[in-house]
Amino acid sequence: MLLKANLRLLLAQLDSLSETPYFTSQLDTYIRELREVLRALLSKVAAQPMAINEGLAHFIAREVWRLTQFLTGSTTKQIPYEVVYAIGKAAAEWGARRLLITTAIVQEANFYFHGSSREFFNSVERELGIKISHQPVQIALPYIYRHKPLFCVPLFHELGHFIDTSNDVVTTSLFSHPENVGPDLPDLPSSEEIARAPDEKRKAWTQVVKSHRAEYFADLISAAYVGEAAHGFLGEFIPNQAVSSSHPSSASRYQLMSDFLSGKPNPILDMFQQTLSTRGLPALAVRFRLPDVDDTFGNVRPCKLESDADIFGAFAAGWGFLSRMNNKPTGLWASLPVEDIERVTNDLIEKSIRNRMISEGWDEATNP
Amino acid sequence: MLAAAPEPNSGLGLIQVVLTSIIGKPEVEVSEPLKTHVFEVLQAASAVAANPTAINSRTPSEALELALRMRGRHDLWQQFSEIHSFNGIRADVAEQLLTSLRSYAA
Repeated sequence: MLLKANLRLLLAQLDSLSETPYFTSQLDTYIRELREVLRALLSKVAAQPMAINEGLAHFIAREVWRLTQFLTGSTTKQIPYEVVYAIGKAAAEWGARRLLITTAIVQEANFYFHGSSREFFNSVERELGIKISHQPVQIALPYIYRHKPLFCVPLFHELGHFIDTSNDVVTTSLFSHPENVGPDLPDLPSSEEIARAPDEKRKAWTQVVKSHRAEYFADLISAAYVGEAAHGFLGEFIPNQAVSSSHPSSASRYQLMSDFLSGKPNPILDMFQQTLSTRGLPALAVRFRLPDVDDTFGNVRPCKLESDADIFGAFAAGWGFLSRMNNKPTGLWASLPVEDIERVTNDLIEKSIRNRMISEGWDEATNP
Repeated sequence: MLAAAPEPNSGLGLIQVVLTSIIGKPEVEVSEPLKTHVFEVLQAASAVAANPTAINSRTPSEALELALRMRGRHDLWQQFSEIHSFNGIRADVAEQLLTSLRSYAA
């Protein structure tokens, strides 16, 4: 009874969401496809006898429920267009699949990512005959940051989790570099100690190593796209977080990002480079170019972004500019009240990216 | 929390559904294409477990995750190597696979 009720309730919610204006036509298509999945599943569940395995029906229903969560923040009134645009550009560099960024705007002080089970998409095609055209990259961000692009830089870290889980980077690393072989991770027992641990304890450590590697990998992706802004934001958001079973300490995370950006050798980085090669993925490398914002932002004008690398670099350059103006404002900025410095810098980043979006859209329309 | 939440980024949900169906013998069986798919994933996981250096860009995600969780269970892979089709998977083997997956998460 509850399964059928859930499917009907989810369908009603998606019907209602389908009447809301969305950022892109792909989102409209995606919602239409999810509604088709629910209708087809309802029809199989309602048949006498049921025309689908019940466990499989629950699996599909749960997945659609999870996917729906990340549509409520994707409406035109909620979505942080510019950041989603930048994340979409970065995500496209890591696979051939057609991706769609969906967002949940949350009230908590956290950012997170939810994977979308590839098996769900294969299952609905295999069992219900419905092909979902895009794989969602589902990210959640705090409500108060939705129009603050510089405070959304952790979404590049969340993108790192997407790249990891959709390509099994960390899982693969555990075959080539098992937790009892190394490289040793800061804050954790050495690989030798893990190797000597009793079976149950070793399994628990494997899980911790897996979680820490996932965080380090996501940090490296973030640093690759937004440079010092990744480190800078983390340093202010969680300045001195101690190690936990799910996350390394803040200090260890800064160290790895710093080594990566300064080109200093680091065995954790080497491990990921080898793993990325095994999975046929690009190597970790700096993917941004710093636009010169001192002149344009200094005169309270948006800067011109010429390429995707410039879009990513705008976050790094903007973060540096905001930090400098916040500490020692100069020129026109010296006369701004301190609370306006943050607001205007974020606005300038939004406008710079928006201008790029418009010019790209224009080029696509005039040169189809 | 009312029930254990599924791991948000685990790719093994479907495998667990299918293994459960082998044990429970439900009213409606899983489809033949799904049986074939799951058997192929189990075979690929078994191959990864036997030779991790064979991992490449085409190794299926579910097989990698399954092989990782089943590391060290040579006995189970040995039993599995003697099975040549989905219908050959006995309920007790399915139960052992499921138990191993659960114990990893604990």
